[in-house]
Amino acid sequence: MKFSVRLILSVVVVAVIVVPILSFGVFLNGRSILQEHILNDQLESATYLMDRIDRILFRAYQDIQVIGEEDLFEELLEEEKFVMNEKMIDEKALLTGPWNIIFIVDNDGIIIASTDEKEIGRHIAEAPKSNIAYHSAMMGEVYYSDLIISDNTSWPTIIFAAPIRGEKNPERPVLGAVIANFDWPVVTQLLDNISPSTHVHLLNKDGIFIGGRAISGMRILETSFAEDELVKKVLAEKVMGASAATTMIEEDIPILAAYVLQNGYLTYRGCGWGLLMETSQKVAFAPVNKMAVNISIIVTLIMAVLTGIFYFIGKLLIKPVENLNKTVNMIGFEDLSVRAEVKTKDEIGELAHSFNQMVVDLSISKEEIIAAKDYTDNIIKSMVDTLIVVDPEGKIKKVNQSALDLLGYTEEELAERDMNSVFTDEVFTKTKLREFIKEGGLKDYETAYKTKDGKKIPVLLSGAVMRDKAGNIVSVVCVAKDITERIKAEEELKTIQNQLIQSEKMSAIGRLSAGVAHEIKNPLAIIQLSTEDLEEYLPQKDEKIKKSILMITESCQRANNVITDLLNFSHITEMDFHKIKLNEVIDTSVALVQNSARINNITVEWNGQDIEGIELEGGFNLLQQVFLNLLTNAIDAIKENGKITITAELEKAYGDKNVVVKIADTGPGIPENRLSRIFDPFYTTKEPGNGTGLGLSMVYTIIDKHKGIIEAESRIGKGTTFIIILPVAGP
Amino acid sequence: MKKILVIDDEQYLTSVLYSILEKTGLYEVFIANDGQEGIDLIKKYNFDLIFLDYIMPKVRGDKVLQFVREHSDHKHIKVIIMSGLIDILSNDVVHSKQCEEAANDVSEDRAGTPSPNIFPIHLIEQYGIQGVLEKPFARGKLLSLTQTIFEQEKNGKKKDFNT
Repeated sequence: MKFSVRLILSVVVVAVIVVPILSFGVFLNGRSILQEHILNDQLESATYLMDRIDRILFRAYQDIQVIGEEDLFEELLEEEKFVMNEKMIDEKALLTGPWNIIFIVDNDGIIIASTDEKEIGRHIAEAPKSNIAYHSAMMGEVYYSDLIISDNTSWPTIIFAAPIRGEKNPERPVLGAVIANFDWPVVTQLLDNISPSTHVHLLNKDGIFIGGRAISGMRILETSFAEDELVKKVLAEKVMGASAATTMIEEDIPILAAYVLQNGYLTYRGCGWGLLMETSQKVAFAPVNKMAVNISIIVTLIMAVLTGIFYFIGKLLIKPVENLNKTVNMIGFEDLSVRAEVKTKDEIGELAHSFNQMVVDLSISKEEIIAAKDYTDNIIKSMVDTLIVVDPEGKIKKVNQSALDLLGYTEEELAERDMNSVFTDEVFTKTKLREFIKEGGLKDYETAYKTKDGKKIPVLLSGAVMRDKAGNIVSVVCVAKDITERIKAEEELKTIQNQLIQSEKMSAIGRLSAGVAHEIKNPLAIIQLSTEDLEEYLPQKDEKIKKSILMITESCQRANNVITDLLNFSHITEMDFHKIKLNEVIDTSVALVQNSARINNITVEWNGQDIEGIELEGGFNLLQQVFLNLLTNAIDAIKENGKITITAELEKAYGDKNVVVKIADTGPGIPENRLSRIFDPFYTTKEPGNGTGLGLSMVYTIIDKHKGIIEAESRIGKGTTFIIILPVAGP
Repeated sequence: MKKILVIDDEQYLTSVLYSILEKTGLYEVFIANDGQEGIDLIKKYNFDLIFLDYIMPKVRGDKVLQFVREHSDHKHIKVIIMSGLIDILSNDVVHSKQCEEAANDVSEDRAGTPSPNIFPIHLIEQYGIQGVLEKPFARGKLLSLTQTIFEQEKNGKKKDFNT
């Protein structure tokens, strides 16, 4: 609808604006032309009128001469006795001029004849204006005056005078003069005949009103038009026949004015009069205005009709577009099955066609998008590793199922939460995130995630930064792998490695021992036997000698003991293992050290309840050796006043059952740098002669042979705890 | 006088053993520092007792034992084994698999070092050994054991040995 409205509106607006403007233009133009025309007309009229006036006055001018040449008057003047027939003068007055008074004046200035009987006999000088005329005529000139008020009649008139000459005399002397008052109304009548809508004013050379329409109410020779713009202008030119036409505003009324200066006619040169013709524009243009009004009405009507027509045309044209629009509106991402009808073969039809094609393409794209999205969704969903997407400010945007499962949240709980709820490295989240973003990525960073319960799960974090087209960071994608198992495995591996190293040490010692032992035993034997042999050569009763030999013997034995111990732990064999009750082993061991402990005020706490009846596969004596050794060490460490706590419990791991025995003492503890070496053979902190240092390595080997593990934990000042883990015997 | 042969690769040891045994005046003592040398002497002389070191380079003790027992001429000879490495587990006399393995382990020697061999107890039965002396042993032990073995022989009994 909007387009059709636009269309109509455009048309209408164009029409409404253009047409009136055009019309107005035309109108103005017409008016202007008309104005020109009227002005010209007016000017022509004025000029014509002026001309007519001139001609009339010229005729009067001529007539006066004719009268002057009348034999009658000649005779009258020559023969004073000739009595004029009044009728004859009256006739003359009527036939010529027209005059409203004629004087025949003799050369004395006496009026000898006149159309007005009263004047006869009077001296012409009594009428000063006439007098001037008389004198002029007496000079032989044909005289005419400007428009004046007659002395005789008190009417406005032009005094014409002509000499009456004696024709008989070849010198043609001026016998007298004929003086006539022009009947001015004749002229003013002319002016009256102009159409009433035009104001006509005849002005003299000073711009004084001398004739016009009677209705105008202006007083002859009284009203001045000298101030009139037009009048002033034309007068300034002072050229006879000059004229000007213009539009003016006179007394707030727009008028068309024309002013013509008297041009005279032939010998009548006039008196520099001007004819001012004025027409009110309203009147002048009335027809045009009327025409304009009519045209406006017609145009309006036409426009209304056109509007109506265009409206319907518009609607018609729009219809296919509307249909297309409706169809387009029906398209949503959801429903791409709609197609536009292609009814016409024009551009709209093409548009509809293109549109349909686009919809088809869109459908295909939509399906591809959905497929791709489903694909990636499935990938993300089925990912084993956790996926968390955060925005650059650290707000969690998206989480996959694995992450929710691992952390124990629902999707709603994590949406828009700050990443600090999950990521534990404070440093990581504030500083590292920025670094990480700057570098564009992070690979295999070991950190931990926090679950809903606050538990920390070790993870291996990798991340990448996602940017938009402009290069701005849109989000940060974090993929984290739960490495709890790996770390556990690593720790176990470490433990096993340590065990292995320890075992290696042991077997190295063991292996070494066999060769070394032999190499030591032989010399020992030689020393022993040679010494004893020597005895033969020495005085028998010498005590010193006897003592020396004894010392040598004992030392040899001592050395041999070391070798023996050394060899011992290489030779422990599993062949002699039986099912034994562990708590019995510990019971007996504790019993054996009880006295020693009590003497030094050391309490030994042991409760075998938890492992009552539990059996192991092993050697009773060997295990007893272990516990004896550990207890003895503990007692030695504490020295006096302390406590040894032995605990034993079952532990289930990976389907197997183990017994965990802990022996804790309140001794001074073992410093960390020594702790790793306590199981090494010959490692002892005791003085030489006090223990071979083989005890703990022996313990280690025995436990190892029993497929168990022994570890030591210690804190300076807090004491030492030995932890033994032994597998429970199978059924 | 009884003839005794001492076979041990340790020269000092054979020297002092010779000295000790000779001094009793009871025995005629011969020495060999080598298994092969020992065997040669056995072939040559008629010995009554052989002190045999088990672990020797080149020819190990059991080779000598084999020779002695396999030859009817020498079957009767008494043997006392001397060894630094005897399978020892306190009072247990155990057939040790490890000992057997070690006993069979001949070839992996480092140059100059005697192979780490251990005298396997079961050889006592196998070769009819009369006695075992674990090095180092005292003179007294040596002499008393020798005396006991000869007395047993005299008494016609074969007594179980004492180490």
